[in-house]
Amino acid sequence: MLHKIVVASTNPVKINAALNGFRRMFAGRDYVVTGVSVPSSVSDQPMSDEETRQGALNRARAAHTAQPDGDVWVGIEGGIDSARGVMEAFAWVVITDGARTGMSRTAAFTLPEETAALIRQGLELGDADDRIFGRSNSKQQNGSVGILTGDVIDRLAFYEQAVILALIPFKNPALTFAPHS
Amino acid sequence: MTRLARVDTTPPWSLASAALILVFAFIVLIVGTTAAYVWLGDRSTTPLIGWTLGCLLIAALVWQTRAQDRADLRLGASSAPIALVMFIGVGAAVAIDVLGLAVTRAFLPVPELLDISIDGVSAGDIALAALFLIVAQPIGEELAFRGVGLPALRAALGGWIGLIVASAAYGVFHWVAYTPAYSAESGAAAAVWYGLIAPIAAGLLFGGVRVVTGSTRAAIAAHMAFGIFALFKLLALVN
Repeated sequence: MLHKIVVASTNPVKINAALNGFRRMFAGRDYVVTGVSVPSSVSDQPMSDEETRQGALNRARAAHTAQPDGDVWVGIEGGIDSARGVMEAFAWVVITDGARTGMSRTAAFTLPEETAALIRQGLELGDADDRIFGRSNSKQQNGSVGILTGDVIDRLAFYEQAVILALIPFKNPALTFAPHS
Repeated sequence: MTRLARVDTTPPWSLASAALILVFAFIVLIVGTTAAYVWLGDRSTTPLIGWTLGCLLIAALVWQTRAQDRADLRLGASSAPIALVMFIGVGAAVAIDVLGLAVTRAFLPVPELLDISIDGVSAGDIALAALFLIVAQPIGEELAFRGVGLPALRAALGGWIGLIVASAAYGVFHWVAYTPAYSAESGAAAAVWYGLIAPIAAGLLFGGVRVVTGSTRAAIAAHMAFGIFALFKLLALVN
C-alpha cells in the first residue's frame, strides 16, 4: 500500500529527511512524498522554543488543509532560543495523520556570537550564515549545523532523527501519549 | 523512426562551430547569472532573473553569430500543427514527471524554480517564472541546442547518435547550470533525476520534434509546453 507523505515545505532537504525518517521507522512500506509551501503563521525567524514548535504545528495543519488527500502531514520549523546568555538553534518536527500527532525537537547547538549578532539585528539564521560563511542558499543545503560541524552532522541527519522520534506514537499505537496542546 | 535515423540536410556550420556556440551559451548563462547577483544581491529570485537574462543573451548570441545563415536555423513553419506539438509536449512532460515520481518517490519543483518555491510565491514570482519557463528558456536553449547543435551533430555522427549526443549535452548543460539547487542532501535520486535524466529525456523529445517537423519553431513550442507544465506544478506545490 502506498502512503502519501505531505511535507509542509518544498525544501528538498526537509522532504528527503521526512522520507528517510519514515522509511527507517517503517521499513518495507511504500512511500511517496510531496512538498507544499504553506505559511508557518509565526515570525520568519522564530525566537523561542514555543514559537518554533507552534510554527511546525501550524505548518503541519496548513499542509493538511492544502493537500487533504495525503495520509500523513509533516511540519518542520527551525528556530532559535536564548538562554543562559547563549543563542541556540534547533528545529521542531510535528507529524499528524489527522487522528494522532507526534512531535519532537532536534538536538540544539550553540550559535557563534558572529551569527547571533546578525540575528539580533533582524537577519534570519540562513541569511546570517550566508553572510558570515560566504555561502549561498544555506537553507537548502547543509544549513548552520552542517557548516559548524564540517558536515559531521548535516541538516538532513539533523532533521531525520527528529522525524523518527516524532513517529514514536505511530510506531507504538497501543501506548498512550498525552496530546500536545 | 526512419525520419529520426535519416539526416536530410547538412547545416552550413561545422561541428566545431556548433560546439563553440554551446560552450559560449553556457558562458553567457554564467554571465547573466553573475550580472543578476551583482545587480540584485542574494535574493530568492536572483537565480531566476539571471537565468532569464542568460537565456535571452543565448538567443541574441545565436541570432548574431548565424546572421549569414539564419534560414538554416529552421525557424519557419512546422510540418505539424503547433497546437498538436504543444499537446504532445504537455503529455510528455507529464509522463516524464510521473516516471520521476516513481523513481525518486518525491514530487518536487523543477530545479530552476526551487529557490522561489521555498517560502511561498508572490504574483511577481509567478510572472517571472512564466517569463523564464515559457519565453526565455525555450527560445534561448532551443536556438542553441536544436537550432545549431543538433543538425551539426546529426550530420557529423549520424541521425540517432547525433540526437542522443545532442540530448546528452543538453542534460549536462542543465546539470551544471541549474542542478546545484538540488544537493546530495536532497537525495541523490532526486538530484540525478531532476537535474540530468529528465533534461536528457526532454532533450530527446525536443530533438525528435525538431527532426520530424523540420522546424526549430516546433521544438520551441514543445519546450514551452514543458514550461507551462512546470509552472502548473509549481502552483500545485504552493498554497
